[in-house]
This record gives sequence, C-alpha cells and structure tokens, in this order.
Amino acid sequence: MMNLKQGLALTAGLMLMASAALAETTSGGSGSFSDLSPGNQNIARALFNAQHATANGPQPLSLNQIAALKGSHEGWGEVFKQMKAEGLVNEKNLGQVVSGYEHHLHDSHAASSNGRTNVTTANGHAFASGSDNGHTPTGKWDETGSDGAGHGLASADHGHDVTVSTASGATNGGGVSASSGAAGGTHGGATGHAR
Amino acid sequence: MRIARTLGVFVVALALEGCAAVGLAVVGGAAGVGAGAGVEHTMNGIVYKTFDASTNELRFATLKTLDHLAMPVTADEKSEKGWKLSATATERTIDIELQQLTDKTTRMRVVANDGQIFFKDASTATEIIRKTAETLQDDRDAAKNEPNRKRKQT
Repeated sequence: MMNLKQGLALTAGLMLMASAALAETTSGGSGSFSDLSPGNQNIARALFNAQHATANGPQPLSLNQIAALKGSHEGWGEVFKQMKAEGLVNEKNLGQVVSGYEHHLHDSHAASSNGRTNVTTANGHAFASGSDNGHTPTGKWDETGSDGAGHGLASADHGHDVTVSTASGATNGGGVSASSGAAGGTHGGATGHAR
Repeated sequence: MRIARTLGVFVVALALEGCAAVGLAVVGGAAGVGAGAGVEHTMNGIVYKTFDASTNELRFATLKTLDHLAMPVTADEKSEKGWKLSATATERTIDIELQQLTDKTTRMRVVANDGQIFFKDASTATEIIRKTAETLQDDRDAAKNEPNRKRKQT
C-alpha cells in the first residue's frame, strides 16, 4: 500500500515537472517562426513591423508570438483582427499591413542603394546631407573602446559615404559637425562629443 | 592552506565573471558619434548602453534588430527588473537584459557568449547595441512622419 502511494506521488511529481518544462518551452516560443513557410514568414514580419511600441501601450508581440497566434487561428486575417483589437496595429486591414511592409522594404532598399549621406544630431535634426559614389562608411569601431572618454570620431575618405545618426538623445550627443565628400572627392569627417 | 586560499580567490573570480561592477569600464567607440556613442564596454566583454526609451520601446527595437541581423530569438520574457531576451548566432548565444531605470530610461546589457567560459564576443554585442539604437531612431522618425504621410494620402 505504501508502495502504491509512493508511486502515485512520484508520478504526480514527474507530471508537474513535465508541465513546467512545457510551459517554459511555450513562453520561450522557440522555433515557431522558423517553422513557418517563407510566404507566411513574410506576413508575420509585416504584422511584426506594423506594430508600434509606446511607453505605456500594449507589449508588442515577437515574431514567435505572432507565429504562435497563427497556429491557434484559422488564418492571418484572424491574427490581424486580434492584434488590432489589442491596439497593436492601426491599419484597416491585413492588405494594408502587407503592402505597407513591401513599401518599407523597397524604400529601405532604395535608401541603401542611392548612397546618400545623412547626418543627424542628437536631437534627431538632420544636419547635412549629400550623395556620393555609394561607398559604405569606413568609420572605425574600436571594440576595446580605446578612443577614450566618449569622444567619438568618424571619418570618411575621398567621396565616401557617411551616415551618422544618434540614439535620439540617449547618447547625450553634444556638438556634431560633419561634412561629407560629394562625388568630387572632398574630405569628409564627423566629430562629436558624447557623454 | 595557501593553495586553498588561491583556489578560493579563483572561484570567487569565476563567480563574479559576469558582473558589470567588477569589469573596468571603458567608454567609447571610435565610430561613436552616432548610434554607438555612449556604449560602455567592460573588460570581460559585456556591453552596456542606457537609452532614453521605455522598456516597451526598447524591447521592440531589440526584437526588430535581432530579426534584421538574422539572429533567431530563443527567449523573450519579463524579468524582475525589466525584460530578458536571448538569441542565437553561429556558435554563440546572445543574452540581453533590459533594465528599467525610469519610465523613460532603460539600460541594455548585451553578452555574446562565444561558446567558452571566459570568452565573450564584444564586437557582436556592440553591433547589436549599435543597430538597436538605429532601429529605435528609425521607429521614432517613422512615427514622426506617419501623420504627414497620412495627410498626403487623403
């Protein structure tokens, strides 16, 4: 009799442990997004990007969470409806979300291929802009941080592209000045102080 | 006795390996005029940055960044002090902690474990922070431009 009780207790313990492990896997949501087909991944990405994070608003969903929603719903339309109901997306329908995402993709592709130079200051204002031969930035990133107490320096060679933007004041950027080489090949440099 | 003492010190050092306070902080980053400025490195390869963003905003920017960098997210959960995220890359696990300092300020801590006990991949951790700062800025710019775009459409 005692043995039966012990066996039951052991089984209950094992079941508890198994459910805890399952819950952990679910909260991590590992792999569910990668299980989607490429087409479905695009839609999930579109919904993911359509979310807007605000300080006190609802928590945006991760790609895995969106994929998990798809798993529990009939289709993407239902997922969209639920996200809209929670205030995560503002678009009228799923079509708008997907087309908006495609526009965004094209825009970012165009922006990356036209070789424009954009320099923004710590408060987000554009400081200088120009175009060049499309070279990529050559600014050094010293992982040891040996450049000292927060004085940043980015430099560009003849006609190279410089894109400098700040973390919106998070960097407490001080003065930022920059000039970039337009195709003619002037020297470009950007210096700034950051605390 | 001496051996025991030395071993003790070694064990304590190992235990404190992940602690930020122990590492000697080096502030900077050569290309740091932009998004990378204000990134704090420790000697043990852990990288920090404080953002003027809520935990909510920073978590979303981090998720987007990890997606852009093709680093699959393996964990995304609330922690005692804010939010905790994990991701993977080749032979690396990335641990990210978002610590809420105030409603509008969040500190990001990134550790890229290089598969061995002592080695951290500081350059990858730095890049994640730099890209997250860019994403955050892009999101804010997009949010600013959104009303203008809607006005043009109507």
